[in-house]
Amino acid sequence: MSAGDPIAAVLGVAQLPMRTRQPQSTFADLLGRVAQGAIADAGVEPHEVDGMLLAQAPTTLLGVDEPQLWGLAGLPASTRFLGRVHAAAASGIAAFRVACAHVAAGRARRVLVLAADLADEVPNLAGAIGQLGDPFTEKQYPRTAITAAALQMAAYMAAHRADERDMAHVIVKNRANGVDNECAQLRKAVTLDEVVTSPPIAWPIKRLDSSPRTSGAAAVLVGAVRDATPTRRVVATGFGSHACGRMIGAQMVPGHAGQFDGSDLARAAHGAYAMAGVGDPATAIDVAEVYASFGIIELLSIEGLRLAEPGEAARRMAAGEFGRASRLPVNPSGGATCGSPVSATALIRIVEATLQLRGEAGARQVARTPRRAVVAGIGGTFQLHEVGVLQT
Amino acid sequence: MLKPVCIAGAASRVSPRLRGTLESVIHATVGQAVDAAGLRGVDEVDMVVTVASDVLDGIMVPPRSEIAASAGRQYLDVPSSAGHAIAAATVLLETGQLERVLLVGWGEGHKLADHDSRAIQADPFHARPLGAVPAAMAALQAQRLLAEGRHSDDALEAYVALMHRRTAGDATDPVVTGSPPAARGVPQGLRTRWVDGVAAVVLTTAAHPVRLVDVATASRGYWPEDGELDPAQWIREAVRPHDTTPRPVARAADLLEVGATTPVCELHAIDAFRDDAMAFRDPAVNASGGGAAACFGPATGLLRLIAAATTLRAGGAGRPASATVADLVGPIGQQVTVLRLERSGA
Repeated sequence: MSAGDPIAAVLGVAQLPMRTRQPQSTFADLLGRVAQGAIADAGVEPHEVDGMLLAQAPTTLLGVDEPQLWGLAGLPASTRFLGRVHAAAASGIAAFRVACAHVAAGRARRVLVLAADLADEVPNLAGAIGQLGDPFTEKQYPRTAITAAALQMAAYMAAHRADERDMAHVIVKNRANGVDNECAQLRKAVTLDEVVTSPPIAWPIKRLDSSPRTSGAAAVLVGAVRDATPTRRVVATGFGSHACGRMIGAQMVPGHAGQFDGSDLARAAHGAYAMAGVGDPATAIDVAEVYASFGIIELLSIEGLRLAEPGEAARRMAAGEFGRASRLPVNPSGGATCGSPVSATALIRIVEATLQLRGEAGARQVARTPRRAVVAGIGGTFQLHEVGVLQT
Repeated sequence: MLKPVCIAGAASRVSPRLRGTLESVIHATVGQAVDAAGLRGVDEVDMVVTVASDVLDGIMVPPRSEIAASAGRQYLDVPSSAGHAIAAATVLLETGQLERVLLVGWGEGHKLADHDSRAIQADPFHARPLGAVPAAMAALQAQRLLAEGRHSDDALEAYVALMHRRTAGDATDPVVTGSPPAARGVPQGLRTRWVDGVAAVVLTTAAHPVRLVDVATASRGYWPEDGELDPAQWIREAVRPHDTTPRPVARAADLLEVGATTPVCELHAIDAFRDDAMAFRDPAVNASGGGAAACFGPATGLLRLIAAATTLRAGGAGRPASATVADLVGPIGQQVTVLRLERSGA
């Protein structure tokens, strides 16, 4: 395989409207609906699907361990289950990569990647994802995804002389984009003042800087490049991954600031761009969908993906770049700050990027027809980084 | 053009209770596997793939995967089964996205002997209220399989005894003896001997004596919706050619390694490959003792891969040249992966 060669094609996509609660649906219901949607979108018959992967993490939200034993029963290709992939919130991209590899290796012809989460199954999401930490050491101090993001945001503000208003532009942009996304959970635009005056959660993170608690689901049907419809062709051309240590302190060595400057994501991006034959992403990428549960993570992702120089993302965002009408839109769907079902959130990035590349994103379609997209996901407390490149 | 995938090196530790912390045992096992693969160090690995249970340790596996050397590398966690993890690594290697993958699996299975947390795998609305815990599911499967009469109670008892002897007698898997308290009063065929285990395998696209030539899967839900409970049928379904593609896994192999969670499932799974009801007495069948005799959860299948690869690697005239490994995970073994290994040049 040479750089830039298509690995596999996205044949079909589906997602459900994101909501805080979906009391009318079980986990299995959600999976069934998106499976049906992706297969219909691809225009194939259910029996033509011969492989299935589940992106699912963490299972504590559902209270069901190994939920594929329950949730996939009766679905197309459930008798050809290829595995559950768990990379925390980055699971969707990791599972998509494995599905593409199964197809490219000829070991399956069409693989369905599914993901769903019901955030209302537990009274406290923070408690459910508390399994991120070691019960004997880390849970003794208040290091959560929120406090870790607060550290990142404070460090970014200090390093680049940015204030809270500078950092709020990304949320204003995303919430405005979310208004036009019929699947978004938060569809109300917010102002800069509303963001900076919203209640602090862990300074400088405020309530409106953060993604909501979300239930939702997504599915992507992966197939051979030859099976893609020419007019709707979207192919995967590159993937990269990078893991780092769980403990921030474990990496506090001179010269290593991966959790504070986006350079860990940059390592994953380096691999994906090399595989996809992308030299200068700032000019080669036309649209980006990145998982960012807090505004600061989108800014670090923009820099880590080399779509902006280090320290430039907040300033350029404030200047109006990365909007839907700009040369390089980032999260034209509104991103995870408008809705983020943890297990499905990275797969939704692929769904959204595919819709943009096909020109089927409706009211949220970017102004310039894109030819190449980058998708990114970060799992754990900024430990697991997944990047993919899609193009027409 | 697909790249060949070879098994470059492996290591494992199995015992009733791990000596030392889980982290230290994983560290030692990974180091040993990397050495066995002839690598200068773990930095030569492109990707780490883990297979282990979040629930068993009360902490998510991916965030703590640095204990398996993931930090600084590409990373993937496939907790559903060793077979699924091997399949994912294989296709990523075959398609040239990676050159070396380190598979690491672990589980402190003794915790399941004390309290079977797998009970929360069942459908919470229908199965759990009926008490469909793994032990009940396995008992229903055993009733069905034994009623078919392919194997007698005596044969099953002989199978369990032989697998225990083979496991205890394996120098690489020391001190696996006795039955856990939870097994008292449980019929032989349903006794899973829960142990603690760690296994690490290096897969590579570089030439090595043992090649992984095929991977096939089949699966069912917690309670199979088609009513099929025979693991041999699931294996036949996995290896059946599809799209007119020949499946190397469907050919007879010199060696057979089959692992499931219960002995009764494991014994009936062997039927997919051998007609003889007493085939398990053949030293080429489950020479390592099978999965139920020393089980540490979804990663246990890595031991079957290691056992088959080790025998094939020994080589020599008249020695086995091919092996089939079947990994059956889940309360009734309903997540099936079948692998075909061949000795290069054989």
